[in-house]
Amino acid sequence: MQASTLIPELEEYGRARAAGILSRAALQVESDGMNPEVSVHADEQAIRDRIIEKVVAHVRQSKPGAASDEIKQRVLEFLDEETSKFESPVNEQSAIERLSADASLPSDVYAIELDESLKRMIKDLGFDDTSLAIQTIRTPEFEQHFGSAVEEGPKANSLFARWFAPEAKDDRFLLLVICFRKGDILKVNQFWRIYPKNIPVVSGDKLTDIIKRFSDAYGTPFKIGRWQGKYLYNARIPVTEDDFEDSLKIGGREGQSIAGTGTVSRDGDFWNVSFAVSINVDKYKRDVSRHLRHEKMRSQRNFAPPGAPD
Amino acid sequence: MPGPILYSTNPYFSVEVARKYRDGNFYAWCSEVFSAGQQAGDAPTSLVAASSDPRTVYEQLKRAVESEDEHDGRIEGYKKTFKRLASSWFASGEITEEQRDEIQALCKKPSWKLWRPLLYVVPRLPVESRLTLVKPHKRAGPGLEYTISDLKAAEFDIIELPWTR
Repeated sequence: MQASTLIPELEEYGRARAAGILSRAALQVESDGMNPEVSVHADEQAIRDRIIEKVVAHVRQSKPGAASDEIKQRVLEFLDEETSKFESPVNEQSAIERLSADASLPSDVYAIELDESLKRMIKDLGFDDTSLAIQTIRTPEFEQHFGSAVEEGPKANSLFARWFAPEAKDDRFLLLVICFRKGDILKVNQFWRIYPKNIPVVSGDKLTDIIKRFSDAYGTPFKIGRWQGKYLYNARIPVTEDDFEDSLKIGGREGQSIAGTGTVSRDGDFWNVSFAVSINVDKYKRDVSRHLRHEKMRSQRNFAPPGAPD
Repeated sequence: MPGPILYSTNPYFSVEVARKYRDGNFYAWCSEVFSAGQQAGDAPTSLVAASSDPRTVYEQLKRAVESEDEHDGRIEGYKKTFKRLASSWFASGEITEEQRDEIQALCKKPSWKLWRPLLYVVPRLPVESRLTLVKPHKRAGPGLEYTISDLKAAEFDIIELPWTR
């Protein structure tokens, strides 16, 4: 790549140093010298001033009569372009993958996908909270993330929650969403309405505490290998001759509708399983439907004309 | 009399960058008052200009984030500043190439959460000797403003306010 012809002085420096000088020249112009990064490198003040002077003259020449704000913008654009000529290119894809792996990528950056088992469960339920789940992921009130830095926890899960219907004392609920991160995709595995009327929600609770309580109330026992219970927070299970579908034994009486779901990813000879639950969908649907009926009645009352009977 | 508390509004991303890439050193441009408009009329602290008033900056930034204003000049400015800072830090060996890529990749991503405002509340006394008074011609108004570039997490509180005017 050609170094700048307008600023031949930069040839004396290595590419990295030249990029640094140019980026600090831009910071100097942008902040009117107030950015502390400018004063940290005071030894290069002379070359920076020369560069800025040349670029300003160049811009003024190409845009005679331009207002000072416009000149400043163009000078900054020029300096940014020059910086990029000296820099190694940004590897955005691998940066995003690293940020996702250590749970540093903000949730509104991910593409959201719904797990197939979740889509089937939504059909069974007869009501669909997908749009609320997306709102919860994009603008959560509570978040809990697990990433590569957490040794003894799920590896790439993110939990989000948000209150809905806050004005309705008995029918307000916390929507709790459980996702698995892979690169810039957030795969939604589960979402549940948590009504404090049915499941206690205590200030200071971690979202994992709430899932546990929810599983105690709505779960049915299930089995993975030798493990049995209503809720599996995190486990590493050896792959057997049977595939995972066969080794996951979900209980429940005949005729009951059960949703078994969790985050499962294969790592060599092991399955990593997180947030596995087996929920009695009939029971969950019955309780949520009761709240939905209340919500509907309340909204009808709110829209009734004045003087109408309750 | 100087105010005992300093206030500074910054985007969430500043906190992320300070914690993850700057060894816990926070930068802040501070004012002696949170809201210049709520000071007694002739108090010197009422002279802070709107563009440096922490409350005004907070409200403007919050509104831009909530309305997902893609043309908000302040957010665009933050993105450009962080890209330039990442280039500068990498060039002087303060961060790795991977870290530079992460900061610059995040600046390119269409996130609103990164730019939501946070209020730094800084007790003045412990940091007094490290404050730099902003020269009058570099302030937006006659009110006093300060910068500090090595604020530590234990020296201040970070607040996310629930309201807007």
